[in-house]
Amino acid sequence: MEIATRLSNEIARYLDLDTREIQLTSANMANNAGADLVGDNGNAGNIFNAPTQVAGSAHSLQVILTNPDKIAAAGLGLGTGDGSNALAAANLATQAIIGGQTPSNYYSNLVSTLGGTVSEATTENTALSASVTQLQSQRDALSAVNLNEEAGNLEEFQRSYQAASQVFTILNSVYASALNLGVETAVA
Amino acid sequence: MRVDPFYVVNLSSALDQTQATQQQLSQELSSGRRFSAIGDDPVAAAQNVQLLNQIQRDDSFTQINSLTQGLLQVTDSALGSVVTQLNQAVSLATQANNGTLNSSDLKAISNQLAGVRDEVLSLANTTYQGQYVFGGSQTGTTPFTLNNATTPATVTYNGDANVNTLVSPNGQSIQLNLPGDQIFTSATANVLATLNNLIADYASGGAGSGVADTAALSTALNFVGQQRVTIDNSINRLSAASGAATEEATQLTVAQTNLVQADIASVSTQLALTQSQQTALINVISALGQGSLFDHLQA
Repeated sequence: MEIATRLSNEIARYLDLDTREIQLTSANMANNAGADLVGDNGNAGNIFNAPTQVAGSAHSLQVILTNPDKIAAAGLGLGTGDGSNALAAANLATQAIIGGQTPSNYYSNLVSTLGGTVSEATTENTALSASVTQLQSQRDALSAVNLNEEAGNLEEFQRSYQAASQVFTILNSVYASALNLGVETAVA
Repeated sequence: MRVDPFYVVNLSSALDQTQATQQQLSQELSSGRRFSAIGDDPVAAAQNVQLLNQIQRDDSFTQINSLTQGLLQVTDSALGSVVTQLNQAVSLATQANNGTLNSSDLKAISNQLAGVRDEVLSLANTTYQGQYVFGGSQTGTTPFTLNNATTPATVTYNGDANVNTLVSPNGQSIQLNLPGDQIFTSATANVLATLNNLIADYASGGAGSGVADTAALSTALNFVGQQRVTIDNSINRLSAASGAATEEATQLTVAQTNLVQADIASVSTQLALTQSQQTALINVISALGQGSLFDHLQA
């Protein structure tokens, strides 16, 4: 139960990426705040598709810009040689635009958290597998038909039978010896 | 005597464990990496993300560096040619002003100065990769256009006064251009207007205000020389910034290698140990599988 709760919390946390994606529209806003190569000034258009709802937005994220000339590198009203808007877009990388963190820090934290969860799950899996094996052994020792146990028993009975027949062989030879008055013959 | 009835199961599971360890170690040895999934070392994986990010930024800057160096070199070279042309113009004007030349000689000098003016105008409209170098941010528009209908002829600047900059990964802002109006049509030292004035002065066969205009041209010549220093500085700063970015990328790559690289000696030792354990386990299993206590009794 505890694990199920934790897993559902983890899944909820990753689904939170959807709301983060909404905040990623900063890149679109940046592209609409400058001038591009084909004469757009403040209306160059979006780089990414604009999400209409939170649910599933991270999954449906895609680049919709097809003409690289539509990247608004220049500042508003400036010529094509200017790069101030491109600089503003590049500076998004160092701004806390996703959940109060920079994009690379957010991704780094996501990797770390996800990796930690995977590692934790692997450890728990190993521990629980060991526990299951132990419990199965205990149960089998009490009730189940264990093939190894049966094989062991079979071996044991076989050896007992062999031992018993060995006794008979010896007795047989003793009786033969007695009947023949100590003379070893082929008659049993 | 009690015999563990599950010894085969227990031994098999121990063998499974050593095999899993062996597989993991072999993978580390063949790939040279300490981890192949983020779950193996979450902290190192997160650090790797940060390092990769910074290395990519440095690499991007190094890649555009050669393109930008080209732009600055072309600008510097154009300004150097402008200085040469202006020196020639000053020389011609000085010759015209010494009072020994006749009317047709002065007209010839006027024509030669027009040639110099056209050359300077062409240099002012220099392009690099299809973009005008001296147009401010208006790199798609011809910066200077000449109107010969007036006397003296007039030159119009179609660019703007914007200074384009490149920002290095460590935040250093490097100037990439000199706006054309700052060099060729400045209010204090208007190169093209002074040349046009000189051409008009001598075109009529007289000296006109040639002496004053020649002095103005000398001032303009010095001014262009001074402006050129800005571009030379940018070239030096860009080289330094590019060197720093390359150096940083190299250091970060070393750090990244150290982070993800498997310690081959340690992994090899562990692998040998695991293989010994495995061999021992297999021997135990085979020893237990064959024969019985009676075999040992008979012996």
